[in-house]
Formats: sequence, structure tokens, C-alpha cells
Amino acid sequence: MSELAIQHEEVGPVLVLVLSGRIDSATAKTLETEILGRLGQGVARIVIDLAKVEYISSAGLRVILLGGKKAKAGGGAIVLCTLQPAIRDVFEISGFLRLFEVTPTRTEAVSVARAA
Amino acid sequence: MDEVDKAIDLILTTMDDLDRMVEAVEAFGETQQLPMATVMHLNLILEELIANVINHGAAPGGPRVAVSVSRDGADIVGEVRDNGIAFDPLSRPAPDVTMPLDERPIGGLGVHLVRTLTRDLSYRRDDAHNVTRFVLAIEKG
Repeated sequence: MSELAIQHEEVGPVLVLVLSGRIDSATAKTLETEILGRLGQGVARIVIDLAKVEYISSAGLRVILLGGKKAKAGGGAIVLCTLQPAIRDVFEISGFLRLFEVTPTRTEAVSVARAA
Repeated sequence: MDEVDKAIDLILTTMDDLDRMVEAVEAFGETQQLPMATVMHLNLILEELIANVINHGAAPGGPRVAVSVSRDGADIVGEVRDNGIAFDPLSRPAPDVTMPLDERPIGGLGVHLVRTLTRDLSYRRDDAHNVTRFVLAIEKG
């Protein structure tokens, strides 16, 4: 089954989204509603923890790109952390490692997002 | 032994069928003892090709996509055949992945991923169908 679970955590001004499962054509809409919804409500700094994400397709990349643009336009940023190797490959191929700050730990990601 | 086993054989008509495809790909990966990275790449290639058809190029009577995948030695060979409007995924220019965030266009990544991950990719129009074939090398290790 294609499923994506999203947990939230707030660390000061930073919203941390801890994702687990798959980000594909079936689940990307849920993530889009979450990210764009939060950015629309005044949150500008979002950390996305991908440690438990085992799969991402262009449907998911699209949402992260849309979110990144919107966060930047609002004076904030989206920071990604704890990518599994297979996920990192997809980000690399897509050029996303140039577009987004990626950190090995969630703590570092929160620091980077705070400073954005 | 001349003819390779058809290991995945599916017909999809909506993106809701994606779950069945994911299950079939995982079962194929187990049977063939494929590395996890190869299973993920196979899944990604199929999802991108199928999503292109179902979301963008459906025929008036609705999309019908036939997917077949088999192993050929150190490779996985696959074919996606659909009844959609003529669309050659290889005709799309590759996105400029060096553009900064504000200027980066949203689309085009699916085909780019498929091109990058496959060893060989070809398209032909055949009897009112699009036929896209790919070869994916099985990762070593």
C-alpha cells in the first residue's frame, strides 16, 4: 500500500514535518495540502525529516519545489534532513541538492532553518 | 530459455491502480532477489511513465496502460504501452537542473529521472498506441 504519515513538531519558529512512507502520485497531495497550507498560515521555516521515507517520485519533488519557492518568497526556507541514500540519489539527479539545504541531522536542520 | 519470463504484466486505467503496480514490483524484486535500489528505480520509472499517460495524455475513452517487465540477465527490460494521444517522452527537453529556486520550472522532472536512471530508453508510435521501452541495469552489490 502506498501510504505517507506526517507528524508535526514545533521548535520555536520552525515547523518540523517528520514523514514516513512513500511520497508518490497517490500521497503527494496530502503533503502538498500540509506544506502549502502551513506556509499560507504564516509559517515560513519548515524542516522536512525524510529518514523514514523510502520512496519519492516527481510528484513528491514537485510539492517540495513548490513549497521551497513559497517559503523563500515569504522570507523563510525549507530545509531537508536525514535522507536515505536512495532518496538522496533522486534529489541529486533532480538538482535539488543545489536548491535546498540538506543536513545529516534534524537538530542541524532546525538550526539552519532558524537562521534562514 | 530463449524467451525471458514475463514477470510483471498489468493493465492500469487510473492512478488508483498504482498500489497494485507497487505490489507487483515488490513481488518481482523478491522473486528476482533484486537490490533495493533497483526495485526503487524500477518503481520510479514505471510510476513516471504511467503518470505521464494517465495525467496528461489520456485517450477520449479513458486511459489504458499495459505494463510488462521481465528480467534479461543483468538487466530489467520493460515496456509501457498506452492508448493515449501521441506523446514521445523523449521529445521533451531536459530541465535545467542548475537553475536557482525562484526560476526553477515546476515540471519535467519525471522524464528527466527516467532518462537518467535507464540504460536505454526508446519510444515508438504503433497502431494508435504509444510504446515506451526501457532497459534498467541491475545494481551490483
